[in-house]
Parts: sequence; structure tokens; C-alpha cells
Amino acid sequence: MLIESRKLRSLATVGAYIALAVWMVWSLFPVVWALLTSLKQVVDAFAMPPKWMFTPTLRWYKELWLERSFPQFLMNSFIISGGTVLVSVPVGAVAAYALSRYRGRVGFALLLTALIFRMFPRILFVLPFYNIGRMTGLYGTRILIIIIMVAINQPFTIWLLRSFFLDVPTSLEESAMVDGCSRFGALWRIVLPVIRPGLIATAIFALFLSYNNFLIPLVLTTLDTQTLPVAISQYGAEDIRYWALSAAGAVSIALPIVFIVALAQRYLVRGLTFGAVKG
Amino acid sequence: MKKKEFAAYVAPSVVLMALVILVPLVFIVYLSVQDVRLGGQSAEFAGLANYVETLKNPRFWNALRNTLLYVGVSVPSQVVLGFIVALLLNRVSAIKGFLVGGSLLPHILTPVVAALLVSWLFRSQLGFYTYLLAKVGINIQWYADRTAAKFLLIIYEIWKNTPFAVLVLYAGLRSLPDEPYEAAIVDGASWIQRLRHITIPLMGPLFIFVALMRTMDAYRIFDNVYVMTGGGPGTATELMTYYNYAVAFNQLDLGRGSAIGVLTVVGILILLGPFVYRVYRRQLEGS
Repeated sequence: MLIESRKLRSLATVGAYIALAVWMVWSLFPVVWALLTSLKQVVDAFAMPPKWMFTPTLRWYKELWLERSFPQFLMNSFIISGGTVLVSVPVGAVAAYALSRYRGRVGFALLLTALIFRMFPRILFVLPFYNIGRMTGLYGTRILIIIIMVAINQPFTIWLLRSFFLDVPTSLEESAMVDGCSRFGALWRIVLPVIRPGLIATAIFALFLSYNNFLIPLVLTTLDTQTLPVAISQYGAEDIRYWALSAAGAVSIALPIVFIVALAQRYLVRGLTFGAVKG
Repeated sequence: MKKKEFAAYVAPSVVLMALVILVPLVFIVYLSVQDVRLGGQSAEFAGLANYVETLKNPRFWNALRNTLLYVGVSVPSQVVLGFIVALLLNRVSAIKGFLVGGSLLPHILTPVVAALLVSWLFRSQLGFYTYLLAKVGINIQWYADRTAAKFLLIIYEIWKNTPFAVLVLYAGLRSLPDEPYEAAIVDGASWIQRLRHITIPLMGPLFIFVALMRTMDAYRIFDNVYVMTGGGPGTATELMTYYNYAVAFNQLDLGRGSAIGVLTVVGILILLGPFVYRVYRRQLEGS
């Protein structure tokens, strides 16, 4: 009886591995396919049945990075997403800290409002800011994109960081304050170091949000401030001659993300769940 | 913490949100009752004309239907598929980091890039998935057939965002208490019985959470429509945000575009408001 059930269990485990293998192929194949395409010559790129064996070439990456303006777009993406992180984490952190320590109706209302803002479609910001941008001369500037990104990321930042602050017992900073530390000093020196993983997770998500966003820079940037997603969306997906080139672009854009996920996976689960599940 | 101190700490964030979210919101409501072209200098008060025109337009209702189909098919699929994969992950122990990280990748990928990857695989004749399907006798013109094109977008959504459900539900499974299971095993409950009577009820709030978050994002999806189908063939894959974008930036009708934007927000508030309140009530009251 016991042996029977043990057999059954190991059979179930084997089955689980097989099913997960299928799941992984389904999840990862499109990325692998793009990588292969980006290394092929034009004739091989759209040969069907596909050529699995081919002489790889780096010409598309060369064209992208040396002959086209991809470095410029990378720089724009880098400035915009970096700027978003640098502003949104500190601003969000002080607010989230206060929201975790203050028990009043205003705090409740603020959290609820932030949650409602989180639901708003982005097109809502794009339409008015097109006009506001033209009126103020901010249209097409990276600073305008950064401001919008920081603001639409605030609800997420506040909720996520608040969930980390709630885990820190208030006695920690209170004892520091008894010792003559100001509240801000206690936050800076005692509390923030404790929630470092939370700050890292929040920063990564702010980075992704800003780096990945498409609609906002699509409408509000000009050619010289374009970000990577906007740039690649213009590389004619219909024209098969550009397939391999677009694939090289897609892989280039994905690479930093793959790198961060591989490096910082453990910080991401709680962030993905908006602080609802402690990963 | 005292009220004054609280106000000082939240001020930067509140000012920012007020300026960038609230002001445009008021502005868009103002624009929605104006007769105004995109980039145009003059605006004329139009009353509710933009709203009336929008609600009379079959293209608006088409976009709404398409959006509801997109959300209605993809979100439940993501919850069910995500739960199955989460159960599988919970069953195995080796190469866990790779399995979790690999599952995560499509979800974290830049949407425009993800849409390109999927669109290549389903191109007619030259797409690898189209080719594989043809091999087993399934010939689908993903970009020319109205129904197939709708489902192409849904396939993208399921591929890209099921990982979110996997991750949340897997994290949930790992934090379940042991006691009910020990008791159930003593009582001789089978795996299926334990799943039905213990796991699923305990995971209830997380199912709702996943459905809520995915509905929010799927409702306003834009990138895949823009990259993969451009709303076509015809208007078969025009979802709400894409339709809104087309009216404002292709037809250059900012007034009507704004009206659609306002209606979209009202729509999401009606659709999700009660759920959001229910899901977060405990966290809010705990504060």
C-alpha cells in the first residue's frame, strides 16, 4: 500500500516535470526564436521550414548600433527610466512611511484615491498632456515624460513600500527618537536600511514601468527624444527584409530586462503582487 | 505620527499626483465638452455633443464589445492556467529558480517587443507557429480572419500575462498553513478532495486579486493592438484605448477623443470599483 502510493507520487512528480517543460517551451520559445532570427541572413530568416543550422551573423546588430540611431534611443530610454527611479522612490518612500505610521481618515482616503488612479487608462494622461505640453513648451522633452512616469507610478510605489514599512515595528524608530534622533533621522538611519529589499524591488518596478511604456512616449516624444519601444515599433514589421533587423532590435531591448530578472528575481515576487503576497 | 508631520511627508507625492493626474483629469472633462481639433488653437463649447456622437457611433460599441471579449476570455484563462502551473511548480523541487525566472520572462518583457515576437510567429506562411499548425492541418489566416485576429491578441495576452497569475498563486500556495492538510490526510482525504475543500477556498482572495489586476491592465491594453493588428482587419481588433487613440490622433478630434476617455474611466470604475473596495477593505481598515 505504502509502496504503491510512493510509486504514484513519483509518477506524479515526473508528470509535473513534463508539464512544466511544455510550459517553459511555450513561455520561452518566442524569445529564443527572435534571438535565432536576429543572427540569420535575410534568406535564412524567413525560410520555412526553418533552418536550425546556419552560419550566424552579427550584421544586424552592427547595423542597428553603428549605422542607425539606436544608441541615441537607448540613451533616451536610459535617461527617462533612470530619472523616473531617482525621483519616484524617494518621493514615494516618505509618503509610504507616513501612510504606514499615521492612522487617520486622510490617510485612508489617500490610499483609496491612489488605488483608483492605478486603474486609469494611460490615454487619459496622453490627451491633455499633448495640449499642455504644446502650451508650456514641454512637448517632446524627456523631463515631461519623467514627470508623467513618476506620477502614474506613485500609487504602486506607495502601496508597495507601505507594505514593507508596515512590517517594521514602530518601537524601532521610537527608541531612536527617545535617544534624541529626529523622526526623519530615524527614518533615514534606522528604518530605510531595514527595508532595503523593498526599496530595491520598488526601484526595479519603477525602472520597468518607465522603460517598457509605449503609449506615453509614442505621443509625447519627438524623433530626438524617442525611447526604444517607440523606435522599434516604427521598424516596419510588415516588410520581411527588416525582420532580422527588428529581431536584433527586440533582443537588444529585452537583454537588460533578462539580465535584471536573472540577477534580482527574489526581489520581484512581492513587487509583482503589489505587496499583497510576501514572496 | 501627528497630522502636521504626516502632511509634510506625503506632500511631495500628493502635489505630484494632483498636478499630473488630477489636473489632466479635470482638463480632459473640459475638453470633452468642447469642439476642438488636435493641436488646434480655438475651441468652442459643444455641450454634450461629443458624448452623444460617441454613444451613437457603432464603432464605439464595437470597441467596447471587443474589449469585453478580450478581458472576458483572457482573464479567466489566465487564472485557471496560472493556477495549474502554480500547482505544478509547488510539486517539484529541482531547478526551481530557473522555472520561476523563465515563467516570469514574458510578463516582464517590454510589451512592444513581446507583441513583435508573437506577431512574427503567426504571420501567414512565414510565421513558425502558422507553419506548425498547417503541418497538422490547421490553416488559419491570423491577420485576415476577423475572429482569428481577435484571438491572436488574446493569445498574446495569455502568453504574456499568465506568468503574473502563476507567480502570485505560487507564492500563495507556499504560504498556506500545514494544519488543515495534516488533518485531512489523517481523515483519508484524496488529493482532489484536499484541493477542492482546502486549497481553493483558502486561495479565494488571491484568485480575486489576480483577476482584478489583470482586468485593470487588459481593459486599457494598447501596445499589442498597435503593433500586431492596427485594429484590423477592418475594426475587428479595435479595443477601447486603440479606438480612443485613433479618434484623437488619426481623426484629430480631440474633443470626441476626450469624451471617449472619460467614458472609459467611468466604465472601469463601474466594472471594478466594488471589487477594489472589497479586496482592499481589510488592508485599508487595518491601517
